[in-house]
Amino acid sequence: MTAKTGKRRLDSRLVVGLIMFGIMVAVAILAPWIARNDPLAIDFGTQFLAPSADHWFGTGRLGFDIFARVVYAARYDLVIAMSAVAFSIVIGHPIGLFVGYMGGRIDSLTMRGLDVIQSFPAFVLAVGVLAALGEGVLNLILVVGFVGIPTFVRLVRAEVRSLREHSYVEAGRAVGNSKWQILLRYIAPGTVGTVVTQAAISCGWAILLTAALGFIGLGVPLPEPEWGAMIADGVDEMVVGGRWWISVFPGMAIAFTIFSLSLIGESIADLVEPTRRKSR
Amino acid sequence: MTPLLKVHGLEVEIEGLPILRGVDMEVRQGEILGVVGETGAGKSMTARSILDLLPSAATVSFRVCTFGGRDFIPAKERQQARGHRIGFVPQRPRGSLNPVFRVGTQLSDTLRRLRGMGRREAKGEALDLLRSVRITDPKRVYRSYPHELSGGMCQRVCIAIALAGEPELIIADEPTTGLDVTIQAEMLKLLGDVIIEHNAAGMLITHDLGVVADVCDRVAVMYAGRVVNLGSTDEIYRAALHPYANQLVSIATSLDSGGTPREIPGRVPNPGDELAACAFAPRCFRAETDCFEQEPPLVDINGQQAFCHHAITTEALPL
Amino acid sequence: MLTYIARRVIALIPILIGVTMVAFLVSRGLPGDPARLYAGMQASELEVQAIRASLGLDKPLYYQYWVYMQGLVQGDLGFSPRTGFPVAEDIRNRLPATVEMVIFALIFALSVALPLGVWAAVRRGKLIDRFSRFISTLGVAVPDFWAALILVMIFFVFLDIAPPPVGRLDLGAVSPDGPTGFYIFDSLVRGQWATFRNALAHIILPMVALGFPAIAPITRLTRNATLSVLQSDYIAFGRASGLRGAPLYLKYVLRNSLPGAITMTGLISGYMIGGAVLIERVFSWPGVGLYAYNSLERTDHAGIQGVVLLSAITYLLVFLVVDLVQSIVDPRVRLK
Repeated sequence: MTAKTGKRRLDSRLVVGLIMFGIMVAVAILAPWIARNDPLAIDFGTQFLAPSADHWFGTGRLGFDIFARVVYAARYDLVIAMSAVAFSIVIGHPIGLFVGYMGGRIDSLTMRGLDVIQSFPAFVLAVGVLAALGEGVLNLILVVGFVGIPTFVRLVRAEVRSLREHSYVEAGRAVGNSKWQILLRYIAPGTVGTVVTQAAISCGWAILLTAALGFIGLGVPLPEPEWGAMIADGVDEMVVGGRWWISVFPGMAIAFTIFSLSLIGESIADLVEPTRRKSR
Repeated sequence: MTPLLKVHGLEVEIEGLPILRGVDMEVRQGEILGVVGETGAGKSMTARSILDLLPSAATVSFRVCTFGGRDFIPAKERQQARGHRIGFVPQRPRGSLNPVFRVGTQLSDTLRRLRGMGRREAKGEALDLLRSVRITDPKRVYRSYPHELSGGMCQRVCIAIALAGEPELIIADEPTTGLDVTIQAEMLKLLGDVIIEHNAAGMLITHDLGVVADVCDRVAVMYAGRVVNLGSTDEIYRAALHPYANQLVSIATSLDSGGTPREIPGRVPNPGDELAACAFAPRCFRAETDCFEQEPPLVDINGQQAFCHHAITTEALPL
Repeated sequence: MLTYIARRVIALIPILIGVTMVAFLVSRGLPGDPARLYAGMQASELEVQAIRASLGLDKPLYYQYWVYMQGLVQGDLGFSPRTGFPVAEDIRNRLPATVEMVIFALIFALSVALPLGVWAAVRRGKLIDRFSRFISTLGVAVPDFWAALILVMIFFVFLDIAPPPVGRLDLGAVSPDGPTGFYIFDSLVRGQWATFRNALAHIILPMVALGFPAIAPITRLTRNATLSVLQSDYIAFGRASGLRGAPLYLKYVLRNSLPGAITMTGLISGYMIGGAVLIERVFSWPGVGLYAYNSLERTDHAGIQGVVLLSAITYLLVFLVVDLVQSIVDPRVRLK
C-alpha cells in the first residue's frame, strides 16, 4: 500500500474532468465567436428546422438557432451555479467553523435549524421560496445558494470537530495562541480541502437545480437562453410533432457539464483523503 | 503416533509477494501447540491457509498437508473442515459476533448447520455449551445481543461456537486481542481447559511468548514466513536453539521478572524485501557470512528443531 | 421499544413546528405583497386592500402565524382560487397518483440497484464494479426530467411501443373506481384487466425516469455497505465456523446490509417527492407534482405552499418510519 500511494499518479479522471469542464467554460466565454447565429433572433422563416449544416442543432418554435442558444446558455447556467455555490460557501463555511468550534448550545440550535431546512426536499423548497421571491437571475442565485448552505455547514462542522482533537491543535494551544488564533490558523486551513471537493460536487447539483427550476418556468426570464427552460420548450414539440432536437441538445450540455464536475469532485476527494481509495 | 495435523512446505504468495516461505509444523493428538512470532511473521496466514480462508488474491501451495490421516491439500477438504473438524476462535470477539442476531441464535444456528440438530435440540445443546465455557447464567446470555455483553463474555461465546461442531482441532488466533488485560490469563486458562475437556487438540497463535508458557505443550517460533524453531515449551524456555527464539524467551522472562527487556535490533522484514539466506541474519548477534549466503541447516537436539548455522547448543558455545 | 418510539416522536415536534414556520414565512414574510399577487396585477388598490383584510394580512405576523397554525391543525391549507377548492382537498385527490408513481419508481430503483451494488462489492475491482461506478457517475449527471423526455422520444415518438405521455390512462379511458385511488391496485382488485394493462403501460416510463437517478446513489451505498459487511470480523468468523455459499450471502450479508438500504430508501423517497414535480410535468401525470406545476404557472400561491409544506411533512414522516423499522432491524439503534 505504501509503495503505491508514495508515488502519487495524476488521476486520469481529474484530467478528463478538467478538460471537459474547461471546454464548457471556454464555450461560455467565447460564445459570440463560437455561435454564428444570434441566440435571440426570432425568425419565423426558420421555424422548426431539423439539424443541418446551417443550424447544427436545428431551430425552435420562434426560429431560434438552438446551437447558439445552447452555447449562450452556458453563460447563464455556469455563472448562476458557480455564484450560488460561492454564496453557499461564503455563508456556510464561517457558520460551520464557528458552531463546530464553539459547540454547546449555539451548535445544537444551529443543527436543529438545519434539520428544519433539510426537512424540505431541496427542489421543493427552492420552488416555494423562488415562487414567493419572484423570478430573476439574482433571486435564482440566492435560492440555489441558500438550499446548498446546510451541506457546507455540516461538512465544515464535522471537520472542525475532528481537527479540534488533533495534537497539533493542542500544541498550538500550549504555545499560547488565543481561541480565535487557533481557529483561524490551525483549524480553518484544514477544512479547505473538503470544502473544495464539495464545491465541485455542489456545482453539479446547482446546475441541476437551476435547470430543474428553469424547466418549470422559474428560472432565467425569457427570451434569455437557459438549458432547463430550453428543454421545457421542446416537451410539447417532441410529443406532438416529433421534433426531438429542441430538448435533446440542451440536456446533453447539462449532462456533459455535470459529468465533468463529478469526475473532478471524485478525484479531488481521493486526493484529499487518500485512505478513501482503499474502500473504493 | 501420526500427528493430527501435518503441514510441510506451505507457501503463500499475495500479488507475487511471498508471505509464507515453506512452513513446516505439526499438531499432535491432544496437545496444544503455540505459534509465536512478531507481527508479520505469518502466524495468522498459516492458520488461514489450513482453513482455506485466504484473500482471493493469494496463491497457496503445500508439499504435504494431512489432517487425521486424510489428504488436506484439496481446498474443498479444508473448506469442509471449517467448524466440523477444526473450530476457530477469533481475535476481537465483540466484532466477531454478528451484531444483528441474538447470541443464542448464532450459536443454535451453528449447531443446526454443523450437527443437523432440530430447533429445540439445538437450544438445549447451546445452553450446555455456554455452561461448558463457564457462563453462569446461560439463559440470559442466550437471549442477549453481542453489544449487551462484555468482551470476555463474547469470547466465551465464540469459544462455544468453535466447540459446536465437536472439532478435533481448535485454532485460536490471538484470542486475547481486544480483551482487558485483567481477564486475558483467565481466558487462556479457560481455552486450554475446554480443549482438554473436549478431547481436542489446539493451536494457539500469539505474539506473546509469555502466554504460551502457561497453556501450550509445544511451541513453534515463526520468523519471516517460516518456522525457525520448534520444540516442547520446556525445552524452548530452558535452552532455545535458535538465537531469535532465545532472545524472545529472554524478553518474556525479563518482562515477567519486572526487568526492562533488551530489544532485538532492526525490524521485521516486509513481504517483498530482499532476504538473506537466513532471514534473521541481519538482526542476529551470532550471524556470520555463511548465514547470508547458505540456507541454514536443520539442527535437531533433544527433540527440539531449529534452522540455524550457529544454533545455541552447549557444544557450540565458545570455550 | 415503546419508549424509543415515544422519544422519536417527541423529538420530531420542534422540527415540525420549525417546518411550519418556514412554510409560513415563505408564504407571508418574504418581500412582495401576497395580497397583490392574489388579486392580480390589474386589480385596483382598493381591491387589494379588501383582499388584504380578508386574508388577515393587515394583522401582525405572529397573529397571522397563530391563525395559520389553527387552520393547519384542522387540516386547512387555504383555498385555491385557481381550482375553486380547498388546497387540502385538491392535494388529497391527487395524492394517490403521485404515491403510486413513487412506489413503482422506488421498487424499480431498488430492484436494479441492490443486486448491482452487492454484485459490484462481491466482484470488487472487476469489470462489473467499474461498470457500476461509471453508471453511477453518469446517472448523477443526467437530469431526470430530461431522461424522461428521452424515454418518451425513444419509446413513444420513434419506436411507438409506449403509450403517449398523457397521464395514468389513455385519453378517454375510464378510471377504476377502486378503494385506494391506486389505479393498478384498484383495477387488479376489481378484475378490470383492460384498465390494469393500460395503467401498467402508462406507469412504466415515469417509473423508469423517476427511478433512474436514484439507481446511482443506491448502488454506490449498497456496494460500500456490502463491502464493509464482507470485510467485517463477524463474517470472517462465520466463514471460519463453516458458514458458506448461499446461506452466508442470503442470511448474513443481506441481513447486515439491510439497515443501510432502509436509510437510503428513506432518503431516496424524499428526493422523489421533489423529482415528481418534474416527471409529472413531462408525462401529464395528474398528481401533486403536476398540481404544484399548474399552481406555479398561474401564480396560485396557496397551492404551491400547500405542496411545499406537505412534502416536508411527508419527508419527516418517512424518516420516522425509517427510524422505527431501523430499530427493529438493528438492535443497536435503540441504544443511541
